[in-house]
Amino acid sequence: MSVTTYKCLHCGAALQFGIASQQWDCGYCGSRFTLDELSTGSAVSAGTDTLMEFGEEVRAYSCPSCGARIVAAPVTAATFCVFCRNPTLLEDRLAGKYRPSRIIPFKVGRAAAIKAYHKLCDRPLVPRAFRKKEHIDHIRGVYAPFWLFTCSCRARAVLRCEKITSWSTPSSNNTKTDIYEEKRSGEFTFASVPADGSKALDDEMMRCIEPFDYTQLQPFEQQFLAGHLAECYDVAADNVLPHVVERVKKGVEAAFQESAQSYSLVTVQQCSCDIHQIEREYAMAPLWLLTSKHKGNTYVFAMNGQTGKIVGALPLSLGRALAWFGGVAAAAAMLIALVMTL
Amino acid sequence: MKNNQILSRTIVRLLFLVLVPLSYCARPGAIDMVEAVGIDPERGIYDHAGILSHDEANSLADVAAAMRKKHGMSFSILIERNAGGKRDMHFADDFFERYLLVSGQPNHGILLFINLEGRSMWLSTHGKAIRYFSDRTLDNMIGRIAVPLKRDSYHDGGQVFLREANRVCSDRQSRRASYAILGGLGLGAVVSGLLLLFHHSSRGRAPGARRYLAKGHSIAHKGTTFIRTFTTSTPRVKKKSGGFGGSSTHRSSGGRTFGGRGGRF
Repeated sequence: MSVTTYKCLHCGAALQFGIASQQWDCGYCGSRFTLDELSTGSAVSAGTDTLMEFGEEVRAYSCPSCGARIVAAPVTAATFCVFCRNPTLLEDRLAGKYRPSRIIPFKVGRAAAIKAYHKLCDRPLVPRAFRKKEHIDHIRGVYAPFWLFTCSCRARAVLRCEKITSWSTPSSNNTKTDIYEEKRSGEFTFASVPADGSKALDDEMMRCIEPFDYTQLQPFEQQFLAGHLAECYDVAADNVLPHVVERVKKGVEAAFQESAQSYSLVTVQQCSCDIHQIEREYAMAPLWLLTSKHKGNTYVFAMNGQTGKIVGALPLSLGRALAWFGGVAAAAAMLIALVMTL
Repeated sequence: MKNNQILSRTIVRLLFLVLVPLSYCARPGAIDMVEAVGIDPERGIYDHAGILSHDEANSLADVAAAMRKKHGMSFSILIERNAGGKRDMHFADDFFERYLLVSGQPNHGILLFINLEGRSMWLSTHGKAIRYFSDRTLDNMIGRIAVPLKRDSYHDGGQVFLREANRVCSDRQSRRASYAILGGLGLGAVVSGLLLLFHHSSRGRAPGARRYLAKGHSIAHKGTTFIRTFTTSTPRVKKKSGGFGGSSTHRSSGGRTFGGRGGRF
């Protein structure tokens, strides 16, 4: 098992994937390299070993740059040395069954993510601690493991359709409702339905930062991970398949409903789906993440690293809410009293 | 001798004919004569008919002065033998305008005018007193003031007037405090509610699987069956126009706006 760091071909400093340039930049001498140039043997390897701590499996490795012993979680595929900030890839988490077939590289930079977080937190009831610079500096770019499912589906449905017409007379308002039953069948293909492959990331949150633009999917090269964190999957494809099937069924129902647009109201009464030719693909997608703790609860800010779509639940500061209530109430009471005195 | 008697009678009659009209002119019911007497706008009690004792007038004046300080408006009582040929409303408004709305005095107030000969009264309001004393309130006050006036107890009538006016103003002020507190709390709750609503709207929506449906899917119609039809009818509700009680106003001869109501006793 080896640890890999991509180093500058000119000065030997660590390289990072540049989001703006979509190439690999040297932060020390300013050199820039393409993927082809990078595959000329710049990687440096060091040993790694496994140890147990606190009853949970963790892995330790030696930093190729400074030699410090770094501890990583079992799912960590790319990380930094906490001492020298050297970006490092753990190759055993990117090989074999853990090697993704495709990747969506980062398109939205860190500055844009921080700006979006500032905008999200620029609300009166958010605790001050969430807006502090030292807290925001913990925002990090992560390649998250995704399963992409492609499948075909034969389906039949019975739809209850209502045609509603309304008219008015001088004395009454009238509504006429005609009810029909429509039977339909169809052949569908769903392409690249995503499913979260990480236990650590909240499934609902991951669904909310969709969609990704799949036209920018690229064949996986581990060089893309340099300069960001990455995790390999720890939820197998078979485990997320039932969720995908459910999602596909809802998509089929939506398609049937859309096919009956001439009606005012359409509800699906019965729908049977035969899903077949299921293909799965392991991919990595970019996220900007900031995890915060507040009064024992965890709040996660996430941003789609490709489209910039953000998701973030924010805590409520009760003190600030009461201050706002009291301030507005007092000001309004004084204003009303003043107006009524005039 | 007889001629002298006739002459003296004629002179007396002439004197009578001249002096009687003059005496009417000299009576304090006329504004011009009142002006000659001199009005202290801070006193509040103007008994030109001389039916209140000195102590009675002073006690009413003290109450009126205290109320004036408390509510920031004048409370006045004008008692005349008649209205000098004018309508009560015009007489009261003219008095109000000429003698009470002078510099250094509150620009708001209420005046009770009592016309002794006409057995009538008029409540004239100006400035914010028009809002404080609605027509209905004034009618209620007139009804209460009329009770002692019917007994020719004018001091009691003045007391009732001042007490009622004080009650109306105090109610208004306590209502104002209640409205201010309730309004403030309401607005505070609305603003806080909006902030809360705005606060929780940061979560994006997951796209449906329909988004991942590839182009070229086919849907076939397998038949349409008519189930049933029904019609619902609801009567149209005509909007009714309505309104709240308020204060009717009019313009005085000087062009100012006054409110007021009158009555008899």
